[in-house]
Amino acid sequence: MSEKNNAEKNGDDPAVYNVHASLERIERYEELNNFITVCGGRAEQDAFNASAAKRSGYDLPLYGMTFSVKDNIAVAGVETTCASKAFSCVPERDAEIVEKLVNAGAAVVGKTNMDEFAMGSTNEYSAFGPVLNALDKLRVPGGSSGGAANSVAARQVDFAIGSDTGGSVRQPAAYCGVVGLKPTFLSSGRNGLIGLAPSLDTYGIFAQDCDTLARIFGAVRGEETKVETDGSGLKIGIADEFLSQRLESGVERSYLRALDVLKKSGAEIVRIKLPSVRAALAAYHVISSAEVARTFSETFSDLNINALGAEVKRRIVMGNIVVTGDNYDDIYIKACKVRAKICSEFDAALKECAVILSPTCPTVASELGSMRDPDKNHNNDIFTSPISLAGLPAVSVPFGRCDGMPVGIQIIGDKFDERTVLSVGKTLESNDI
Amino acid sequence: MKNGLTLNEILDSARAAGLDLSERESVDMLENLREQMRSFRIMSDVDTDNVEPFFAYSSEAAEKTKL
Repeated sequence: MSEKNNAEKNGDDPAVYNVHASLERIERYEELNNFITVCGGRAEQDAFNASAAKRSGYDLPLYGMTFSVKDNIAVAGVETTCASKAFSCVPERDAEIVEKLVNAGAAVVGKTNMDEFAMGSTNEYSAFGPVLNALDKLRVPGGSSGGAANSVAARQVDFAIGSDTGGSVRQPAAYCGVVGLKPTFLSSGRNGLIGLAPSLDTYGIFAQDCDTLARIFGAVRGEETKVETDGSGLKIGIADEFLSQRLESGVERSYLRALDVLKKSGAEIVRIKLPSVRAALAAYHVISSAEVARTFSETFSDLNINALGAEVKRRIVMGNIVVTGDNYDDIYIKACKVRAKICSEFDAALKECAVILSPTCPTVASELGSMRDPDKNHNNDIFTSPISLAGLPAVSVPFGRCDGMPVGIQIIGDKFDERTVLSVGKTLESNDI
Repeated sequence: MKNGLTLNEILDSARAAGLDLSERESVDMLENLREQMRSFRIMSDVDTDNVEPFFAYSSEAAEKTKL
């Protein structure tokens, strides 16, 4: 910060200075493979424009900040690949969310690596090679927004934008030790997001802490989101169905300690019931794969589908199977009914409490190559997928360590109550040791 | 929910999507997809009698999903 002040004193543009600092760190830590495309020229232009606007008296809440964008989200003039050999386009316009962030004063420095077409939980399914976790290069950063989360963890950017369908922001946030928010479904426009499952895809934001994330979210929503840490009287729900899942012992310890911290801050812990959540992962995979198959059939009909990676092909095949013949009623409609029950159970639970707490993932970041089995990979979504089905906002906040790696705690709120979700997150992060 | 998934079902599904799977790809997929289909049986434990399916957009959109 003092270097930035010096730059300003010397007449240098602080926004441009920060862009150059960002680009330098991107180059220094290139081996992490966080970026598919770096757009230094675009970033400098954003910074110049922001500085000019600031001099003209515009209030820019994100002035001087740099950000990265997952490579399934459009940045004008910059190639979008979805980390696939089968896809490439150069959009003419920024995605709606990118436009809002640039208008708020931030500069976009690059497009981040991801699992191909956002299908995966380790960022090992990319046509551009895996991402290496900034905290331990022998481990994965999580996925599918692995490059985005990791670019924040490596302090290459101030914040990042990803997408979350079943956990693809929250899980890599947990694995990389940063904060990751999946807002309420459809709370912000999705123009410019190359999605895969229209009833689930949501933009997400990564940042170093809840205050910063709230500032960014406020800029996207066009209204300030103030976070507070007064937890007295707040009711925190814990679900037996989440507690009964098998967790790495360090994850369990951190989760219990998080509950303790919130109790000491004045919150009341209440037990809630979400009986249908045990079938959430199955319902999520049925619905998401069915939607993926339809997306590829309708939106990507010109794509060279045979150039796709194995995981994408697998999901397309499954997506067609679950809607064929008797499977349509027995599996797909059944999954949609299970989803309806999950939604109503969350609605009922959130009348008893302000937020619900769970671990973000059952484990911390795994070693590269250890989770290539799709079944193991999918189990990562066991706590995140129910929230995606219900369309609720949720943040993952780092709290505690296990095996030297950060543990993520997920805070789930009622629709459009990102403020309470982030406030509880801030209480946890201020008590993390 | 019927038992088992066959190689022909995988190939039919792939063809419907325009995918030209090699024999190796289909065989590699078979056990994994069978396992995933088995995992879907847990949904039978949830009583959904008199429950309307949740469609985030519309039932017409869901109907289009049917093959």
